[in-house]
Amino acid sequence: MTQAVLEFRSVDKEFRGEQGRLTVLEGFSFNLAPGEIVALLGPSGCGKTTLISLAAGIISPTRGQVLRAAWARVGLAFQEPRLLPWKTVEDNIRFAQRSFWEESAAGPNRARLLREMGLEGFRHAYPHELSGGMKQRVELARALAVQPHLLLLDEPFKSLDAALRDELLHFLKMEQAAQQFAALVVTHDPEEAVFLADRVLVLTERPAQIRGELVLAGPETRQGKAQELAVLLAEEG
Amino acid sequence: MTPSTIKGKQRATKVLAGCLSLLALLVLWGAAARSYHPLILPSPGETWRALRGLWADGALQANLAITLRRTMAGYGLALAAGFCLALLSRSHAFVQALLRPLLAVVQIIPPVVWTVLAVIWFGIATGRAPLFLIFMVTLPLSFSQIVSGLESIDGRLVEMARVYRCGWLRMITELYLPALLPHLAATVSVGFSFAWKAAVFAEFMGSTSGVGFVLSTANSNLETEQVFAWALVLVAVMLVCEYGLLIPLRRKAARWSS
Repeated sequence: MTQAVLEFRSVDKEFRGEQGRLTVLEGFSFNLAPGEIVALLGPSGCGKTTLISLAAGIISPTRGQVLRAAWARVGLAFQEPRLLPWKTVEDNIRFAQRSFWEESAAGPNRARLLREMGLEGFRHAYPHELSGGMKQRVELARALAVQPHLLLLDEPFKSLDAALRDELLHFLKMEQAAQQFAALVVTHDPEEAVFLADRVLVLTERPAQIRGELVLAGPETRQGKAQELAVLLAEEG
Repeated sequence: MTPSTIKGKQRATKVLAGCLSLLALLVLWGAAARSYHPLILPSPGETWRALRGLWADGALQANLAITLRRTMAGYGLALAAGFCLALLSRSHAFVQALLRPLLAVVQIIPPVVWTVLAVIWFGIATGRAPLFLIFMVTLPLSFSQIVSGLESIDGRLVEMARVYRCGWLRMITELYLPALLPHLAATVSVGFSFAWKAAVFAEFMGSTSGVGFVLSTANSNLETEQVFAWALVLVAVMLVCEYGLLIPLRRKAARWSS
């Protein structure tokens, strides 16, 4: 394993269904360095969620290798929050933390995230008592609460209104600057990708391959890049 | 009118309707009893006196305790075995293919056959026959309901738990069991009723103690008022279990799923 926190080596992924074999990824390779944020941008249905599922170890590649650093704690947030309905907001977050942290270390971090993400008043609420936006915040808070080395985000801001999305994007950016975790972010929004990422990979239609790569070193390099990406994406779509 | 006031009124109406239907049954029973000999149909008063007599000499408490103990032991074993087998069959398709037909056969065999076999194998003095019958009657039901409960668990939650490196014990206690709680509440509701009836039936056919046995003795001695008294006890136990235990359990299970 290299220094990368996550590495895809010539990964193919096929799904077999009633309608035959569906190839979602073909010869897909890329590295994610510690502390780096990579955004995956591509047309709908190109296999972005499959990439996140492979990175999380939820599914295995058909061919090739997906290598995660053995030491890496993984935080994961999906577009549809995967909260345990029988646990309160706080217990959902504690659930993820318990595998990695003693309560003495996890508790203060959890309290901080609940406070900073506007969830403090809802810590004893159950998921069915929350709005979609609140659930999404809990999902993200849980992913951050494990103090991940690798954060995997599958369009977690897609169904949020613009104000809440911007608020969470800024919060995420600050957390990343403070904790220096690596992140793989799936998005369909070029502005979101340019705002968050150090590197944007533009994917082709299924089976997904890397069509273009954009390195964003500092704020000045981000000027006008969202439009550039949007054009690339429109050509692909 | 607030929603809680409306709910309170609806509940009061339900309770009143329930009381009225019981009262009507009692009146009808009393009226019918006047037309028949007490050996055929004892009156509510005669039944009440028999019940007080059973309480006074301790037969009611002693036999009820025996039957309840057997029911809970037999059903508890069936639930635990059903849960383990369901977990196994969920994780190994081969085990599921093996178990399903086997348990279907167990379910098809009538309880009376199991009772006869239990008496042959265990005798009537040991109290194992009722345990065996309860186990055999409720195991297939527990298994199939827990399997369908496991099948209904959202696989995405399991994936999430694995990403957060949740161990098998936490997986069972914090994910599978709470997710199964609504199914378990429904399973126990039906299963306990089955177990209770099976216990009484087995004691009636092949035991020397328990409610079923004293019911059989009262039947042999033509003590019809005692038969009615025991029938009332059996119904009362089921009502207490349903309203005191199972309905609160179902409510608790539904608390987060609304």
